[in-house]
Amino acid sequence: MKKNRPLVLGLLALVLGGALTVAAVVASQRFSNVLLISRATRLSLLQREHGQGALATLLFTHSYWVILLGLALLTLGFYLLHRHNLQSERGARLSRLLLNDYRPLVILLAATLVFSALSSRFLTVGNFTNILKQISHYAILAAGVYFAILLGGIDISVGSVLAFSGASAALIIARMPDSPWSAPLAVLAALLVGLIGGFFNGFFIARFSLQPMIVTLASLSIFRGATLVLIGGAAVSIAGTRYAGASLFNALGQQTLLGGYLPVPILIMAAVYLVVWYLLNRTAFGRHMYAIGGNEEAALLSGINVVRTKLLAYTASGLMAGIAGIIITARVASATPTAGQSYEMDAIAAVVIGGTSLRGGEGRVLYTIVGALIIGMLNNIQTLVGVDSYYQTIIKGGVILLAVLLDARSQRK
Amino acid sequence: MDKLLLRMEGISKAFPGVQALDEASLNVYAGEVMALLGENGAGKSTMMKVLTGVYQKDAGTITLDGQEVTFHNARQAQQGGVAIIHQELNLVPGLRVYENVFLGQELRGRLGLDRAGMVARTGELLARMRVKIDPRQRVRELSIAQQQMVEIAKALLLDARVIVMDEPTDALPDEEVDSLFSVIDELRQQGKAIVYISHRLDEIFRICDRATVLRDGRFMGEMPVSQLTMDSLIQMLVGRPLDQHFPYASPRASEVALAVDGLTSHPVKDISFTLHTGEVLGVTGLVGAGRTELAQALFGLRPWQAGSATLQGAPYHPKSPREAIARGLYYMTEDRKRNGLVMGMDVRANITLSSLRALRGRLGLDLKQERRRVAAYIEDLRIKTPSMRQRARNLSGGNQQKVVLSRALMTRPRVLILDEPTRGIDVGAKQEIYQLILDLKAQGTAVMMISSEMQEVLGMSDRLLVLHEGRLMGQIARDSASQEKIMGLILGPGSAQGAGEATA
Repeated sequence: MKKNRPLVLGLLALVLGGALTVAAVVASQRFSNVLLISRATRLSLLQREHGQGALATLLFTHSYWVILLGLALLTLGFYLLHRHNLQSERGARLSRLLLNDYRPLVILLAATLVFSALSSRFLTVGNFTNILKQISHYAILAAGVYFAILLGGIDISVGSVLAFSGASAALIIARMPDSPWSAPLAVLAALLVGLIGGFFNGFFIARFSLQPMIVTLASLSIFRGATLVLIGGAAVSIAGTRYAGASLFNALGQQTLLGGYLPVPILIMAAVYLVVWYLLNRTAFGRHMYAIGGNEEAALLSGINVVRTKLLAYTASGLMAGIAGIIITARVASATPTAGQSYEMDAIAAVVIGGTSLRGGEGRVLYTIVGALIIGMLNNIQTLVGVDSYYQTIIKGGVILLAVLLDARSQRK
Repeated sequence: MDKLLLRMEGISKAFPGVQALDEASLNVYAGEVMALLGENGAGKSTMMKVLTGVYQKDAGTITLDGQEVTFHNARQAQQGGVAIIHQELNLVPGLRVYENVFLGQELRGRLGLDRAGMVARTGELLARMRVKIDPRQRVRELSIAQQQMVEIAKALLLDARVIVMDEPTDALPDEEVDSLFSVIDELRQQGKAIVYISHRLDEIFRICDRATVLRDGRFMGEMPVSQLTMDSLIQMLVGRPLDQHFPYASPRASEVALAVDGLTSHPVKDISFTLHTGEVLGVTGLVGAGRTELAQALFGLRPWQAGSATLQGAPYHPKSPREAIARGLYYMTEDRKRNGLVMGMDVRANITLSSLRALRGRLGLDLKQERRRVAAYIEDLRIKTPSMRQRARNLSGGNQQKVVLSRALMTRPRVLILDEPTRGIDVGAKQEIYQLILDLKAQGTAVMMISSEMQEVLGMSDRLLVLHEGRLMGQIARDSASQEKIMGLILGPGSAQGAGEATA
């Protein structure tokens, strides 16, 4: 009996915590469709909607604290279950597996469960298609950033490279209004710009052994500036039927296939991940990247061409930024000088939440798409239950911090 | 004599899946050096971590000077008078000797730190060990042995009564071992109790008074060293009698595999030699004599300033390890943790890392063939691992070394350079590696073996190269090699006296 106490208490905490969280959110939604709101607004809402039940009023009045308490109880519940697992050898192995090897999947599953309880609109095909479409561009960026992080480096320039390649594409479409060939040309140009941007990073990082953070910080500035030089401060619009290549190009961001269920960006994202997965797991190039990230000196002594591998990896990251640049430009049918700003943060967050070690050499690229999905779901549910967008940014930061914390803990033995 | 200072009794410690310690015991006496022996995984370091509070014991008692103690961390252990000198030294290289000794407990004077006081006190501590180190010198300028002495001075400052030394000679060149031993001797005379952990059994006979043997986490016995022989000790360690002689077979008639002529690659100067197929060429010398640098130059890691070489008859001047490996020369580094293994990758990927080109299939890597070939190496070299997907960091030292060796063998090298191939691995694994070298020799591989262990070099080599300050001092054939002769060459010209001392 004593042995099972953590189990019983843990399940109790989970049920109670879950119930409190859901109840508070549901009660709050009776008053307002915005979840986190200021004190003054809440008081006025309470007066206006005084017809609601006493319990709902109580939950709404203290919704911050109730939700916090609910989440704390959920955390405690999971911790107690973990403690219960540690009592037996098999349980300990299971716990370790769930917390380390399958962590991103476990988080994905838990988030799906909790979010489904929070909003009935969450777990629907339409909503998930929507989420996948929204994550497609930074998931593609994240695949490139994954290369850099796998090597023990980082690439923070992807947002700027994205903007430059998108601007190049839009400019070609706009400057060749009569030729339908402008669309394939624009795609090629965007990809080429991505390749050049990535090669630029890779050249300085690999050839001169410079710090990836500093090199890509420099190119973050350089390519953002280059975008401004190219298109000036205003957006280049390629919407409508003025340009011959526009509809074909914009289809890459807007078209859906299979009766509206499969937007093209999702298809492109899937194709990118298929290729990247293949490169990483079925080619010597992939093995070389894992080896360099794990122990660069050992990789060199094993006969690996370290400089070339790094150069290729960063170039590939630039190419991903080029692809993402096409999707974004096509989706909104215009290129803006601020496109992709701070997207590198979402991309890095996806990689980190996907469990990739920032020390390099360890990770699974398919978990990066899981990480991107988790971020997408988090953004989505907050919009569904009405969390103010200012708060959303704070919450995202907190989630990234938590992911790094979990990574650090799992590294300790 | 016989004053029991530290007693660890019935210590048990379990980790998920392993009983690391099973009622193990250890007694340490004031004024004596106690050897703590056991193969890798026998529980020596777990025992020491339980002592210093890094791990909490599941059962058992620790008594220090008659009082039961439990330390919760290394700091408490230090304050209780137990100090541990780790294999990896905990010094700040950029700081001076006295600053390191007083790190965290600086003496304060009227105006900031009391530098003069700390220098004087450090000087006293070092004088007590009878070593000559200037307290004002920066630690990075010291030799490794001198750095160890600074660590010991740190322990003495805290008035440590029990000093644990974990593999202190592992990183030490032979001639510095003597100065470490004289310091240990000095500490013993001052009544300190010393726990000495080492793989090198000959050292046990030189410096220790008693030996405690652990096997599989259990206490196997405590014996005065005077009642032990090398054979009985090895038998206690591995639980079976072991042929401790070096396997050897004369080389067959052979051709030149590698010929080096006047190679100069700073700090290596003007070295010429030939290496034959089916031969083991030993390379020895002090640390810093240029042994590793010679190997690195041949492996394309260092630019050549002068000289030339031929490999299997064709001119050879590699610009990168990649090129060297493609030409059939492989170099296995001395430090598998630092630049040998990729610890986070599994055994399979570590073994095939240098041979991925050969595993190319129609659609990327041929994983089936890879699995088959890795399985063959695991079996041939008897690598103990639960599966080929196990990460390298979870393997014991000997098995890690076999993984690196498998990687080298998979490239089918004509010339294999092994740098300290048996460093830090247990007796059983050492024997297996020796046998493997012999097999390679029989298959016609040319082996160059760099080693600081005199007995190993003498036992395994057909010929010996002796280096001193980057220069080749001489080549000795197996028949005429002796420790005295080698020592004379190792220490360089004009050191006949040094040679006499070293072999005494």
